[in-house]
Order: sequence, then C-alpha cells, then structure tokens
Amino acid sequence: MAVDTTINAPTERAQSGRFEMPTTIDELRRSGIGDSPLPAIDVNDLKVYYDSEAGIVKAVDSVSFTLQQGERLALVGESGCGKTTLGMALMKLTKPPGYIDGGEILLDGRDLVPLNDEEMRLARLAEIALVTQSAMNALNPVMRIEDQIFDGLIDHGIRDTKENLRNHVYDLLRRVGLRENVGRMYPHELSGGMKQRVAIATGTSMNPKVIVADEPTSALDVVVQRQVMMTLSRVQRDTGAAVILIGHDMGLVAQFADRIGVMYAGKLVDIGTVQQIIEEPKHPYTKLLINSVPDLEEKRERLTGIPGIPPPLVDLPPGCVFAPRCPSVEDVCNELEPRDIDIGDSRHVMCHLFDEDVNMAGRGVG
Amino acid sequence: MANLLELQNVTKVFGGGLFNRSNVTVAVDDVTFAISADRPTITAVAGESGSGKTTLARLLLGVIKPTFGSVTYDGQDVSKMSGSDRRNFRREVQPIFQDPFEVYNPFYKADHLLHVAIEKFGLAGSREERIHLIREALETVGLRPDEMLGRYPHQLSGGQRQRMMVARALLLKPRVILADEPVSMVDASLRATILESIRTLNRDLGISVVYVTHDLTTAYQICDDILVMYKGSVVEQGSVERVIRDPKHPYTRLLVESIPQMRADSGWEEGVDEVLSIDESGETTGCKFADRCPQVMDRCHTEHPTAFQIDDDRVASCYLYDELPTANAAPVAR
Repeated sequence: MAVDTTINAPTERAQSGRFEMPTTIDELRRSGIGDSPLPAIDVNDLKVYYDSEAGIVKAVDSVSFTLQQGERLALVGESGCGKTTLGMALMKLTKPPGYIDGGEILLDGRDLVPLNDEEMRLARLAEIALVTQSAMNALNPVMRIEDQIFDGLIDHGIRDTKENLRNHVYDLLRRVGLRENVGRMYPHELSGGMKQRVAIATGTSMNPKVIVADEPTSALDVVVQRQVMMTLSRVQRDTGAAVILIGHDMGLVAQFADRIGVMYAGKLVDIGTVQQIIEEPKHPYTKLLINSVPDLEEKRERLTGIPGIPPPLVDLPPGCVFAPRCPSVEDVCNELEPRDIDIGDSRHVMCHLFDEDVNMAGRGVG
Repeated sequence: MANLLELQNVTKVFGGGLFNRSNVTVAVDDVTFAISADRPTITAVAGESGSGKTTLARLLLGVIKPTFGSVTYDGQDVSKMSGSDRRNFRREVQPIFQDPFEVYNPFYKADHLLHVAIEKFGLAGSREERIHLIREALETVGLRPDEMLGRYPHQLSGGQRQRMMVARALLLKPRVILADEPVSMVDASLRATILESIRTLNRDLGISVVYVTHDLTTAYQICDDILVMYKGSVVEQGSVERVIRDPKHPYTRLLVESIPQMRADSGWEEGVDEVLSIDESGETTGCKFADRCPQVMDRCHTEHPTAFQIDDDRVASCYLYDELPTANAAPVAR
C-alpha cells in the first residue's frame, strides 16, 4: 500500500519549496484560505509562444488580469483562441515547443514564472490545482479512487496515519456529493459525472487558492453538467478558492462565473462582470459572440454566426487581430494595435472604439 | 396524408443472442414516428448520451435493421428494399455526421467526396456539368467555391468541412436529410452558420430534416417538432414550441431546466442535487425514469406508461396525465 507513515524521504524537499507546505492532515485542514489582502492570482503581461517552422506562434500574447480571492472568472473564446494555453501556462504545464516568453503569474503575491520544476511541482495541487476536460482519462484505471487521492497528498509531503488520510478523503468525497464507498471503487465503476466529481475532489484535496477548471463538463450531458457545475460551485464556496473556468458555452459560464474574460487570437480583448459582458457587450467581437448564442427566449428568424475565421497565429494581421472580421473596422484598425483600455468599473476592452487618443469615426455608434 | 419516412413500433436490441439472455441492451424501445410527405419539416430527436438517438438515426438510414417493427420509406420497408429502390432510397435520404474530421480521407482533396457522390449516382454527363453542380452546391451552403476546391481536408476549418458535408448531401437532391449531431464538434460561433444552412435547405429547397441532438436550445431554434428520448423510449413528442416552452414529462422538464441560459439575472438554484442524482439501475418493467423522477408514484415502478394526448400536437408518456385520452397516433406526422 502506498500509504505508510514511515516514509518521510520527500519531506525535506517539500519544505525547500517557496510555499509553506502542510505536513499533516490537521495542518492541511487549518491551511485553508487565509484573509490575504493580495489577489488570488495576478497575471501581468503573460506571453506564451510556440516555435514552429512557420515562425513564432503567439498563442497567448501579453495577457493581464487580476483575480480576487474567492472570485470566479470564466475565460471564453473560439477554439484556438489560447484559453487552454493560458490555463496550462498558469499551472506552468506548457509543453515544448511552447514556452513562457515573459510576464508574471503572481499567486497570492508570489511569482510562479521563476519557480523551478520541483518548486512548481509542489505548488501544483497545494496552491493551484487543475480540473481538466478529460477527467475521465485522468484517473488511473487500476487504482482505487482513495489511493489516487492519497498519492497526491503524500507526494506533497503530507505524513499522517492512514485513518486520518482516509477520513480526509471521505470528507472530500462527501463535499462533492459522492458516497464514502466511492473511495474503495475503481474508475470503471463510476459514471462520467462521478469521475468528474472525483477530479474536483482530488483537485481540492489540499485546499488550493486557485482552481483552474478547463472545460470540466464538455463531455457530459446537460443534466450531469448542471450537477457537476453545482458541485464545483459548492466546493468553491466551501474552500474559498478562486476559480478560473475555461469554456466556450456562454450559457454555462453565465450561470457560474462572476466575471468573464473574452479571448481572441491569443489576446484578452474584453473583460468585465457577467452582467456587463452579456447585457452591454463592448468589444465588437464580444457582441458577435453574444449574438451567436441561441436561446430559449424567442425563436429567431435567422441564426447568425461570426463571419470569417480567426487568423493564423503565426501570421497575425498588423493592427487589431480582429480587424479582418470586425463589422466596425476602420482604417486605423489595420495599422495600429489597440491598447488595453480601462473603461471604468474594472472593465477592460482592447478596441480603438474606446481609446480616446485614437480617432474613430464609428465611436458611439452601435 | 402520406408519410415519407415512418417508424412503426420499432425496437432495436443489441447483444444477447440465442444462449445469452443476460447481456442485452434495448437501444430503441417501441418507437413510432413519421415524417410527413406533404410538407417539409425539421424534426429534432433529442436526448442525452445513451438515450438511443443515434441508433434511431441509423435505423432511419437503413444501416441497421430493427429487431421488431418496421421502417418504411414511401410505403416500402427499408430493410426489404432491393436494387433500384434501395439505390433510390440511398440517394433521397442523406446523412450528415457528427465528426467533420473523420469523414474525409486525408490523402484526397476535400472535394473528392463531392466528385464521388456525383459519379456514383451518375448525376452529371460531363466534367463541366459536374464542376457546375459542385459550385452551385457549395454556394448554397455559403461557401466560396474558389476557396474550397482543390484544397485538402486539413486546410479547411471544422465549420468549412461540415458545410461541405451539407453541400454533398445537397448535391444528391435528397428529400430527407438526417443530421446526427452536425454541430456538436464545431465552434459555437460556427454552429449558427451551419444550422442556418440546414434551415435554408428546408425552407428553400423543401427538404425534410431529422436533426439528432442533445442540444435543446438549437433544436428549439430550428425545428418544428421534437421527440425527447430517454433510455430508448420516447417520453414526450410534439411541436417544439410546446415541448420546450411548456414541458409536461418530468424528464423533459429536468432537461429544459438544466440548459444553462445565457442570462445574468438567473443563477442555478442550489440544492436540487438529490433530485438529479443518478442511479444507473438495470431493467425495470415500469417507467424508465421512475428512479430519478421527482413526481414518482407507485404504479410507475411496475407499469410502463403509454402515450397520453396532452394537447392537439403533443403527447407524453407519463402517468401524471392518465386522465387524458391515450394517443392513438404519433402527432409528429402533421
């Protein structure tokens, strides 16, 4: 059995990390989210690039945002917009040929970017945890659920009796609405929704400050999807962790998040509260995105998508990346790159229409 | 009133066999519905995964044969068709599949698939005519032929590939298009465009469409009628307006409530976990939804409900409505 209180070799390296690590379940329980005045995560000018034969792919390009403690932010955009790349970069799980080219990821005030592999390994799960799209495949098919959760705890330097460990796992399972006996089961005995909830339980097993949930329900049916999202919601409230939900379903993120960040071609082009984004979208892309979502309110005469396709990331157009598809495009958009404009109420838009230093004829229209 | 494509008491059982009665799956259980020949309609077949909707689509296409019951096209049993009738059926009932990546052979140019369709059915006499037909079909679905022709599948986006599949179906001048989750693998922003092109086929070219989906929102937007399936049975069917706006079967209600709506003012209510909890139990002689149903009654566990006529154009199979008359015919074939 993997759990043995006499193994204590990795404890040393646990303490060498830059984050203070709990060593027993009791310490872990008390570790929770303190009342740190700092934002849970503060991303500044983050760049994630890929080297390819055709040139440098700017998958995430100068993205900045701040997430307060306990806040829920959703990142949305078409596939290929860089939202998953950004999520992976926050976990520092960017794989070659990708790399973080610059920027800061301040987690509770400490920058993750300069951490070495070992320090980062310890910070994952304990400080920032990932719940992936394919939780179905994230579980080891030949290990009992509880053993898989123990593994993460032990690897992060928790040394405690088997009874305490097991009780902790049972608490985690109950918190996600599963029965205790699920701990003794194997992954194949669980349904997709149950596996996804196990993934949430595992992700929150060390009370992380930030949970990155990358399309956690994209493989599930609507009814189960609602269940899983409400589970995540409850866990978020119980632990006080901040959540970054990566998704493309505008309805789903509207139900879950406090704020929405809209990504396009590697840039965060619009960020605001759910209400601001849905009721008064500012960026022309956000407007089109909101309009392309069918609803149950009224039957539309015509369904409208967003014309055109996103630009290839190796060959971005000069000026605004959205200009080729933008209905409000003007000459300046093809020449000058828009800045990140703070339009008040902690709302940011990357569009010349809101930049007072840029002369746009269409300002105030539409 | 003639029916173009019709399912009568169709049941499809997988697995089992002569000596093994234990491991059987009833994928489609006693389903009856029809598409009218009088008026082109769009009918949604909706349900979660495992509800049997794809099996139903395959039965309609004649790819698999029903275990019991019959599938008829223009009055002829699909599984017994032969020769020219079958060929005709194959042309007039066209599928559009879920995955716009898998249907293309990466070694051929994307339009190869259009050429093959024309050749197999001898639709064009000359090369010029063939190219003309292809261009016309591509334009109808909103693609620019010059951007599409001569390119390989990997050079096209998912949305372009899926629209090319719609164009392929269109080339054969079908009477029915059977689209099995045509937009579930493309981006939300492109979904609307593809669904709009499917709707154009229905409105302008008079093609009936069966839209198999798990997404009730898009079903509501483009369809006239809907069948809601649960574990192989149709629990509610009728006009989409009625079924989605005012669902009667507890399962349909659960589904509709679970749709995440893009609104800032309404959050999901907490604490409905209990109602939703799923217990995957085995066989039941009663209603299949009984173990999850919030309004379950004693008889639901033992008797299987028949369809009751809720209103003129909608039926639901639930004992909550047993004071209403039993439905004698499926209402979808209006």
